[in-house]
Amino acid sequence: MSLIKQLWIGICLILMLALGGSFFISTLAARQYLEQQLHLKNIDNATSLALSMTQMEKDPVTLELLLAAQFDSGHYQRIRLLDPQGEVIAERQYHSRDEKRIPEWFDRFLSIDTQPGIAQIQDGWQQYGSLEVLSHSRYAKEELWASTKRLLQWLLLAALLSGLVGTIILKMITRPLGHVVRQAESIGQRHFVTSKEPRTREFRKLVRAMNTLSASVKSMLEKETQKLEKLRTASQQDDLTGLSNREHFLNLLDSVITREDSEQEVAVYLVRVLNLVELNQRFGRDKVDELLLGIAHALRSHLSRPEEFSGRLNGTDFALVSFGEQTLNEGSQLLREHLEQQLSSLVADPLQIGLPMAATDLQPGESRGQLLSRLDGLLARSEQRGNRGIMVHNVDRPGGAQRNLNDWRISITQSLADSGVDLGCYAVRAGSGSLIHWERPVRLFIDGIWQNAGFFVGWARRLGVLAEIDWQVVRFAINDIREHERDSAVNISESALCDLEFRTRVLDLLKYHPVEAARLWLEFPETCAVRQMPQLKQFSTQLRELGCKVGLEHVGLEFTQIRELEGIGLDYLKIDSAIIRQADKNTANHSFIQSLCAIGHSLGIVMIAEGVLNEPERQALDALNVDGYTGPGIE
Amino acid sequence: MQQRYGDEGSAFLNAWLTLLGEQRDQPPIQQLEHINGFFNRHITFTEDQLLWREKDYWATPLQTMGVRGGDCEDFSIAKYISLLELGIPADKLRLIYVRAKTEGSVQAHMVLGYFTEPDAVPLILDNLNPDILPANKRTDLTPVFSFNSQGLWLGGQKSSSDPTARLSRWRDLLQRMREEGFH
Repeated sequence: MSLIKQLWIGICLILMLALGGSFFISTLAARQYLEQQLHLKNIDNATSLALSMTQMEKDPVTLELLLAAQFDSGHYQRIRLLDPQGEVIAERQYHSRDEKRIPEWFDRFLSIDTQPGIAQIQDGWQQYGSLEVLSHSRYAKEELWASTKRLLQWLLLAALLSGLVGTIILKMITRPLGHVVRQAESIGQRHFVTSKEPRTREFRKLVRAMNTLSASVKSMLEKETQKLEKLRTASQQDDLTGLSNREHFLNLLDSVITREDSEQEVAVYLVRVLNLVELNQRFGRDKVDELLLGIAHALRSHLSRPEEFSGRLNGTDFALVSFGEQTLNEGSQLLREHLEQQLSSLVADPLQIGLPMAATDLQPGESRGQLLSRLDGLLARSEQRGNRGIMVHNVDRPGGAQRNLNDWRISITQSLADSGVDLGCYAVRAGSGSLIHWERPVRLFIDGIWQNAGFFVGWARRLGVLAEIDWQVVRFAINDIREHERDSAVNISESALCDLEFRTRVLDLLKYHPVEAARLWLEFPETCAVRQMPQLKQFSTQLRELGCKVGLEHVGLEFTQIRELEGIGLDYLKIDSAIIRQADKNTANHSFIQSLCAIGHSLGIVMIAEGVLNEPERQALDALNVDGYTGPGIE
Repeated sequence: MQQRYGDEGSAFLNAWLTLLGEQRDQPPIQQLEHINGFFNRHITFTEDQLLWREKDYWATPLQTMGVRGGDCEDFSIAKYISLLELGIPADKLRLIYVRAKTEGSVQAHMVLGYFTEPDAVPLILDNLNPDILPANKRTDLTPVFSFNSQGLWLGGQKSSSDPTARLSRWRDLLQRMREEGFH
């Protein structure tokens, strides 16, 4: 039974005891008081009438008159004059005209019994008789009935009032209690929130203790995150420029190539610093380092979206990956301008430094090796064109005509309206091989086939229809779960997360399908936790209240920038394939993965590796405490 | 009793109890003689003011016997209660307020009357005149009003804690007696 109910029962019992008890006691006391007063009146009146009669001539007519006068002018039930043998000499009796002003049951239940007053009358030395006087109890009864009614009314009012006051007090007591319970539940789900301390002393202590716990978890996480950041720097960054090192850059590139929701228009740029040795001799090492930093800075300022990245492949080569509708020529020109700006601020004659450049698009189905060798070829040709040489290789898009924005709008809306969405299906398994859930990436029917997210997602974002697509995905998933009863994970884009209407619609839908909601896993890109924290936190809490599991995908690249991870309330994380790539052969990222899993596990989060290619990779990850796997190597 | 009034008091009470025991089954006239004689001989007439420091105090029989003194009310009451104890019905007994003429002076007085029959002339038990005489032989007394405990005590079965009893001197006395063990 809940505490509130018990308190309520307690209050009701006390009220009933106090009010009911006082009602009966005061009613009974009133009755006794009235009876006593009537009895006294009977005795006194009998005595005084007997005294007068004793002093008088014992003429029957006079006596009867005296008796009648007393009776008629007073309030009597009966006056009797009895002779010494007990025979009635004279009598007056009140015959009620039956004015029933009190209910029968009340009369029976609380009848007023009065003793008659008896007094002796003497005639000289001899007895003349005795006088019996009984007052009328009707007034007393009416009075008793009226006062009982008043008392009952007042007590009911009092009960009502105290009930009201009790409710308010209970509310006041339990309001902080509700907060405390909610916080405790959150912490129970490893969702370390802090809350305001309530005024009630006991609750305050409790909340303070929980806040301390949350705070210590938080500081522990911060320390771990710092450690992780150091590891990341050591294993993934170039020491001098802070850009991704070769290993990491290639992993990121792989991740782009293999991930099916990455965009199709991927441009890769390569910049080479010519004659680095000569430059070192001419300008000195420090100046050259400055120069290299300037180039890195130029590359960074060229990145316009969080998913884009750059890296230093070796001493002289810099690479950059960008997405979007910008053509290669435009992109190269822009990059060139960025570089010129940096150079001119560093050296007097920037043109004497050779910076040839090559650019190409990623072709569908192409491997990393093919792409890089094509770029190398392009760069070699560009070097021959001089210090500012640029070689661009445009690729014709297969699978349909080139479209403009309007064509895309028509295609996507048409497809949504005609065929809706479809979901792919990939297993996510635990180390033991048991199924965690099915990953369900979105498909749209365009150009006669079901296209991967990568085919349309960039355009859909630009057109602002991602929220609508994600909404259809959630609806589809709910229906699918009801039909097949399998746990399904769907991806929710950043645009959808920031769309209030989308969030409201999803929450409303899930409220109507509690059974399905419990099997629905929703995952958001890691970038949401960095950039859309308030929305993510709120939405995640609401979703988890409805029974959903919430997670982040493509985790690792920006993980150390996430603040208050413990405050989001997450069930699982999917580690980006760039981090786990070739975990069996390359130990550079092992510490990083291990620390990541340690942090996740300390928050009760299930850690899943994305894009696992084969069994050796899986086994290596298993040794690093990863909980689950998905990817081409997992069936 | 012994604690309150000493050995003498308790001895007197024992004498009274013995007398009650002896007279239990005797004819009423003999009972009257003995009770009347017992109290008239052994109780000294004393003003209430001296005994109880009150102008008009009605003492219970136990108090009267304890201090072996009392005024006309105390005599009459003690006799009344004794006779009730011996089984004489209450409706044959009356405490009577009388006007007494003694050697030229007139005083308020109280006597106990015994009615052999309801409409007969009562026999008077008095502390001024030790003989029991019919009322018409007592030309020195004029009756004013009479009462007994009918309807109050024998008839009334009110609990002993009835707070209104204290308001009437007579009922107060009956109440105190009850607390002393009379029923």
